[in-house]
Amino acid sequence: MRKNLQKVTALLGAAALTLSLTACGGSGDNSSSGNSDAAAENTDAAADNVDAAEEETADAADTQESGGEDISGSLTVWEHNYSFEPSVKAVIEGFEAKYPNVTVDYEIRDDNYYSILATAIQSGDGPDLFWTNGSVNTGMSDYVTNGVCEDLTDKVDYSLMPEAAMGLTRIDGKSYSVPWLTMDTRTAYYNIDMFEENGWTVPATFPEFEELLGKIKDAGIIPISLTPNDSWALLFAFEPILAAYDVECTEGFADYPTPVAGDAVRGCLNKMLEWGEKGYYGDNWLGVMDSNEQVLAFSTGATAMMVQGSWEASTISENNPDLNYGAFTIPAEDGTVGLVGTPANGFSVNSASENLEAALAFANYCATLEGQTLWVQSQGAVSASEQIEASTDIAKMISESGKGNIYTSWQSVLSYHSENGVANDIFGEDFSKVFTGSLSVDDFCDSIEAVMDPE
Amino acid sequence: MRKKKHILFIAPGFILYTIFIILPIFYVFYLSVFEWSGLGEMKFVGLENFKTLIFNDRVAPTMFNALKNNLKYLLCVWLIITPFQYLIAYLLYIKIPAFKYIKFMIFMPYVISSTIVSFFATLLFSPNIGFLNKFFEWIGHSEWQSAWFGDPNRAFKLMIILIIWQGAGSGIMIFYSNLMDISQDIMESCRIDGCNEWQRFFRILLPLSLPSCASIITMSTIWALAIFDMPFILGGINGGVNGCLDFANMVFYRYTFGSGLNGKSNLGFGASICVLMFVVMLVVTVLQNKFLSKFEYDT
Repeated sequence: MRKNLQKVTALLGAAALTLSLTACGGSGDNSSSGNSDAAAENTDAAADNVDAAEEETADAADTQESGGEDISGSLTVWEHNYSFEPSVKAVIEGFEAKYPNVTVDYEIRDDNYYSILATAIQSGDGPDLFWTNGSVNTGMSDYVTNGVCEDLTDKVDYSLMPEAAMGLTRIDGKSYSVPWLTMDTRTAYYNIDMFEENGWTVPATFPEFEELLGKIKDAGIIPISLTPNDSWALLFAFEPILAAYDVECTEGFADYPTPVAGDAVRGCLNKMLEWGEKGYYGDNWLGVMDSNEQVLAFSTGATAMMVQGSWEASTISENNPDLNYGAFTIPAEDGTVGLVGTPANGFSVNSASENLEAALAFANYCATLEGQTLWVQSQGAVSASEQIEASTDIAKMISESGKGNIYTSWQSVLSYHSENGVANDIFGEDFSKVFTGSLSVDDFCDSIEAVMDPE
Repeated sequence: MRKKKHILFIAPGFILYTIFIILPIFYVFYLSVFEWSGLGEMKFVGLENFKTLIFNDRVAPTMFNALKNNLKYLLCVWLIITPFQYLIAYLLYIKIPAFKYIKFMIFMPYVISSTIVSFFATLLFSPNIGFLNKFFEWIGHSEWQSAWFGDPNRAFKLMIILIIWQGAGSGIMIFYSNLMDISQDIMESCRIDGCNEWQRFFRILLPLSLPSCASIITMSTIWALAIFDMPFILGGINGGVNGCLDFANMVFYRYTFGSGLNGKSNLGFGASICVLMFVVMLVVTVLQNKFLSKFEYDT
C-alpha cells in the first residue's frame, strides 16, 4: 500500500513538473508584459482608424488585392521589447484578416535580443521576420553581409515611406527592412500640477528655460530627472537641448559634412555639465543608475521635468496613471522650436524563411497605410506621416510643439558618417563618462572628430 | 571484469561531462584566435584579440580596471566575507540565544532573486526617490545624503554589504555543517580538560574545521573571480560610475554580445577574455591550494 502510494505520488509529481515546462518559452499568446488599459484603448482606436484608412486606400499592393487567399502557412515574428507587444498583436490581427490562411505567431525577446537572434539564425531556427535597429548600428548590416536579410528593394511597396524613414532600411543602396512611421522624437515632459501650484509657465525661449530651472531648484524641487550612467538616456536629453542651444548646428546635421563635435556641441555639453553642478538634476544625480530610475523619479512626482524620448509617455502613464503631465519642445533663444526625430525601423525578412511568400506579404502589409496606422496608433506614438494621426493627447502635444520642424539626430550622423559606425561606438562607450567626470568634453569631441568621414 | 563494470558505470556521466564541459573549454581556446560575430565565416586573427585586450588604448584600461576590481573583491572575500561567514557559523554552533531565528533570517535573503534585490536597492539608495536620503532629510541630517552607488568611493563598499546580506547565508550554512561534523567527544574532552572558549575555538575547532572548509574557500575564490549578477544589477552594464563596479565578466558580456556596444558582437574577442580569466583563476587557485594544504593533516 505504502509502495503504491509512493509510486502514485512520484508519477503525479513528474506530471506536474512536465506540465509546468509547457509554460516555458515565449509564444505569441504567453506574455508577461501586461497590456495596459491605455495600450488596449490605443489598439481599439487604431482599429477604428484602420477602417477609415481602408476606405481611403484604393491601390493596395498586388499581393494584397489578389493573393490574400492564395498564401498560406505559418510565420514567426520576433520583436525586441514588450512595449511594442500591443502593436505587434494589432498588426498581426490586421494581416491575418487579409490573409486568413496564414497563422502568425510572435515572440518578444526582451533580454539579449541580438545574441539570441544570432544564435537562432545560426542554428537554422531563426524567425521569418525579425526586428533590427536598421542602419543605426551594425546589427542589420552584419546580417546583410552574411546573407540573412532578404533584399526587399523591389519586393515591398515603399511608396508611403518618406526618405528619412527609408534611410534606416538601406545598406549599400538596397532596402532590407520596413520602417515604422512613428516619429521617435525627444521632448521635455513636465508636471502640469506642479507647474500650476508654483506659478511656473512653459518657457518660450532658451534663456527662459534656464531661468525656469533656477526657479524650480530654488523651490526645493529637482528640475530635471536625468541619469549620467546611460549614454542613450543622456543622448535623448542632449539632442533636444542642443537643438535649442544652437539651431543652426542642428539644422546642419541634415546635410553632411557638418561639424558634429565643434564649438556648438562642446558648448552644449559644457552647459549641461554646468547645470549638473548647479544641482538641476539633483544634488546626488550621479546615483541615478539607469533610465528606469530616471523615469520613475518623474512618474512619481519627485522631479518637475524629464527630457526624454517620446516613447516614454506610455511608461510614464503606466507607472502613474494619475500623473497630470504635458510635453513641450525646448525653445531656442529666438523662440524657434523643432523636433529631433528619427523614424523607427521595423521588421526584416529572413532569407532562409520556409514561407518566404507569406513573409514578404507580411512585410508588404507592414508598409501599407493600414499596417502603419495600426502600429503608430496602438503605440500611442508621435506620427511621422501626415496621413496618420497620433492617437493620444500627449503624442499630439509633442507633435504640435515642434511646429512642423524636424531635425536630424546627432547620433544618426555619427552612425552614418563614420567607417563601420565607429563614432557611434565611441559615443556608446564614452558619452556617459563625460557626465560622470572621467572624460573631458574636449577629449570626447576630439575622439569623435578623429573618426568622422571627411566628406 | 570488475574494472569493466566500473568503466561502464561512469561512462554515461563521463561522456556527457566531456561533451558539455570539457570540449567547450577547448572550443573557447580555439575561438579566441578568431574574429567572429556569431554569423558567417570565422576570420583567423592569431593573437590579435589578446594584443587588443592587453595593449589597445581603449580596451586595455577597461579590462585591467575590471581585473583590479575582481582582485579587490577576492581580497574582500578572503578577508571579510569568509571570516564573517565562519564567525556567524560559530555563533550558531555554540547556540547563542535565538540562534534558530537568526539562522532562518540569515538564510532568507539568499532565496530572494537578484531582480528583487535590484528593486530594493533602487527603493533604498536612489538619490531622488530612495528611502535613505529622504530619511536623512527628515531627521535633519541632509549632509548625510549621498549618491550612494553613484559615488565611486562608496559603491564598492555598499556592494560588499549587499552581497553579505544576500549571499552570506549559503556559506554560513556550509561552515555550520562542517562544524557540526566535528566529533562531540573531542568537545567534551576539551571541557573536561578545562579549556576556555577562546582556547576551544582557536586550538580545537578552527584547526579541525579548516580542511573541510577548504573546498568552500576554493569555490568562493572562483565565484569571486567570476562575479557578474550583483554588480550588473547595481551598476548597470557599463560597470557603474567610472567603472567602479566593472568586473571581468561584465567586460566579457559587453564585448561578446555587444549589449553595451551598440549590438556589435565579437565572440572571438569574448573568448580571449575567457582565456585570460582562465589563466588568472588557475594561478590564484594553485597559490591558494598550496596555502590551504598546510592545514591538511591525517585524522
